[in-house]
Amino acid sequence: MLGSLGLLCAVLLLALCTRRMRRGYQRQLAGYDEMVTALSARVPTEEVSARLAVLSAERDMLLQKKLAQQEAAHAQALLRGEQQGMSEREQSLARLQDEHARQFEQLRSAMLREYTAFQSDIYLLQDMIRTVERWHDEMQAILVNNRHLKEQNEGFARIVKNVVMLALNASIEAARAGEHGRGFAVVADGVRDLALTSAKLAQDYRNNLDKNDLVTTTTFQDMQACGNMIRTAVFGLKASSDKILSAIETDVKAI
Amino acid sequence: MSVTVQAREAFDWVFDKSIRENCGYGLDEPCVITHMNAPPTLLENESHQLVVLNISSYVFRVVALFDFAMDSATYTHLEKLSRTPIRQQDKQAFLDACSEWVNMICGAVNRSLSGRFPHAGMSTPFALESSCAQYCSLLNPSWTRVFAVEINQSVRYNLNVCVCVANNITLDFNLDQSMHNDVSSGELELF
Repeated sequence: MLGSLGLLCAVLLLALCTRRMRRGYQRQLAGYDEMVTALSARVPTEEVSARLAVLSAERDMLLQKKLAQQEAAHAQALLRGEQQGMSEREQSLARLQDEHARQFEQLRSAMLREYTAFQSDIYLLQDMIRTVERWHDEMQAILVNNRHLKEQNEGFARIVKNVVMLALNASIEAARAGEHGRGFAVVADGVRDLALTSAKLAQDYRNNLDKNDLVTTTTFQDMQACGNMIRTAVFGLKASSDKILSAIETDVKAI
Repeated sequence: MSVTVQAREAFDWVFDKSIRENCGYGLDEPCVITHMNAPPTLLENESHQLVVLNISSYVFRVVALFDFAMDSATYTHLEKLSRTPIRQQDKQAFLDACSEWVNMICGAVNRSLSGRFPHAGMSTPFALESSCAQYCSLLNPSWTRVFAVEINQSVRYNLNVCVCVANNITLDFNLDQSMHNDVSSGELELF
């Protein structure tokens, strides 16, 4: 009896275990059914790939579009910035240009005033030649006077020479007169001595006139040559000032 | 106030060159230039004419005294130079021709100097009596040089060059002789 009871218990236990296992298998089967149902509802791989490709293309297109929009917006912002900057720069440049033009005009006016004064001085200096001509006339007058003095001196020298001859004749006549002519001989010798002294004086005077001629002439010539030297320098200055005026006018035209 | 050896050589060279270039003959013709430190004594019976010309710069001046013999050889030479007949007794025509000759020589000197002394100016020539030449010391020259010139063994004249330098100045310069090195005909004797 005990064996039958044990067997019964074992059958009952086995039945209980089998029932539990069957429920487990039923639940597992239900899970597999759900999985099958779920798997049956899934899209095929090819379609998924195709859809994914379409979606990628759309995404890329949208991305490109977005980028293009951003780029355009950025470019527009840059352009606006540049335009604003350029406008500001142009305004600033215009202000500077006006300021420079005003300053240049002031400078040009000042330079033209100076140039006019400079040209006036140059024209006056060019008349230096008239001054030299005046010196020339004055020196000619001095030389003519020197020549006249020389002629007078030569006349004086001739007279002295004649006096010497006369004194010599007087000495001869005094010698002829003998004792009576002794006093006269003394006078004749005295006249002769005076005449010889006068002749020496006339020669010295002539030498001095020669010195005077040389110094006067060379001094005048120095003045005349210096006048030419100044004129050459003035011509150089005039050429330079003409170049400056030309440069001023060229700059004005360029502006 | 002095003239350096280099400047003296430059003056010698430029006057030699100018005398030769304007001697009236080609550069191959004989033109003998003798350098002396003092002018020769003139004979009493010789008739001479002095022509003076001045070249001025800012710091010095050159007084050139040309002493021409008034003989037939000089008259003939001046006729050739001026291409105008000059009568022997026509002193004014002789003076004019001499002055023109002096102008040409000194003009050449001035042109050569103007490269180194840009504004150097020249006077007109003036005629003086020969006896004036003996008083050159009155000009207080810093250096004197006499060039005794003989052209074609017939025409002779003396050129007395007085270089007067401003006070406290030493005149020192040289001239570019390279352009004129070919002008070397004639004889040159240095004393």
